[in-house]
Amino acid sequence: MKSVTIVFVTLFLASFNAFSQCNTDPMVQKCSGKLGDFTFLKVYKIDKAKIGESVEFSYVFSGNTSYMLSLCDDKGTDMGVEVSLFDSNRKLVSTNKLNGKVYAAITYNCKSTGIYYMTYSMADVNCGVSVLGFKK
Amino acid sequence: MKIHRKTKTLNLFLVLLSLVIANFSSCSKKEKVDDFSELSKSDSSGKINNATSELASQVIKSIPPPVEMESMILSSGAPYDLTILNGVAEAEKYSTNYHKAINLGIYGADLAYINIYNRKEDALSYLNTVIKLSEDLKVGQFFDFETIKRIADNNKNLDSMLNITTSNFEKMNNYLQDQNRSNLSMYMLTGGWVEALYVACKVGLDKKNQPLYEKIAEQKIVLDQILLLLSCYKNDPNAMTLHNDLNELKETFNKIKIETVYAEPTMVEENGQLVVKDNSKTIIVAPEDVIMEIFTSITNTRKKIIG
Repeated sequence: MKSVTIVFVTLFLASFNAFSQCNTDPMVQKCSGKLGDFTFLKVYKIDKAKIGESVEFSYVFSGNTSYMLSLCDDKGTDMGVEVSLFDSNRKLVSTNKLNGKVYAAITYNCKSTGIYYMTYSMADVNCGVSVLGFKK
Repeated sequence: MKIHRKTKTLNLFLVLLSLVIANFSSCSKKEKVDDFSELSKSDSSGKINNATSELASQVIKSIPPPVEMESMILSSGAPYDLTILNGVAEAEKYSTNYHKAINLGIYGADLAYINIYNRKEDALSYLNTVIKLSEDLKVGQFFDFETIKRIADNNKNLDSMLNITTSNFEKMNNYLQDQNRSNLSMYMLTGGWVEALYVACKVGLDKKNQPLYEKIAEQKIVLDQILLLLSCYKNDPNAMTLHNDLNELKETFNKIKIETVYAEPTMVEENGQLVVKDNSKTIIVAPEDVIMEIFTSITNTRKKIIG
């Protein structure tokens, strides 16, 4: 009887662990679909950031090119991931929160070539992804 | 009798426990798990510590894939030219993991070029080569030839094929980093960048195309990132050879001037979407003779890579 209990406890813990891990594949698929006529470039997984923390990525943006950063989260609202885009001088370019509204994507019509920084944080979600696409 | 029953219960427990562990470990790693012993032996010189690995991973994320530079080639109006790419027959001679990985990057860039020009037959031939090399490196699970072929057959243009192959390369890079084999990822990225730059220079100079010259000039910033990435692998002689070669190229790139005149960006909502307009301006001075020097240098580096 004791052994059977141990088996069930093991099963429960294992399944709990499996569910607590973030499956980003469906989010990547959804976020890639949001790119429309933008060509896929990169995926940024935001599963390291915890509440109050942020995670940063960089990318070399090219002048006269439009970029789209689409955002998706594990709750499906796509409003749980916040992104701030900074230019090569660390000046804030934009965030996806404007006038109290949260946007699930940012389109950036880039004119100045350089390395840009994307800082992601999460609110009320466990994990999220951001997909970057471009259009000439 | 009591002892026998206890042993039976214990055996049942162990069997169940093994099944649970086996089941969950296969769920958490959907990808095919292969024997990496041979690969890790030959790649051991490329292993880096955790902090450096984190830095390398960040830098890898910052490097644009070849498709971005190559999309400019189509815009230049240059005709499709398969002869400028690395021939698929060459793949047979790549025997080391270094040569396989760096040329996988080369063929990946070539595949992006072919896809941009919508050449299905050539795309499938290059895709086969990409699959062969990736299988040799135990990352073949990211390319399913039949699925990609079906997508190509069902679409009049190859846009979706371009997205799928770029996305598969991205998945492969992430997987290699998770597997502590980021050195292979670094080779692939470097190879892809070298090939895209070579093709852009070749076409740009043939067409005397100023927008392409500017795109080539912008690679000065990407080159800094690649050199930073390569410097993470100080114990890897292949990475150091590449670093030395590309450092020479940097000397030439230093003749390029890139200046930005800053202006505040503006934000507007268009069709419910947030659009940010960059009001800054970049001035790029890229004389043709410097582009020619870059072409000569990158051609030499490429020759060493493709053999």
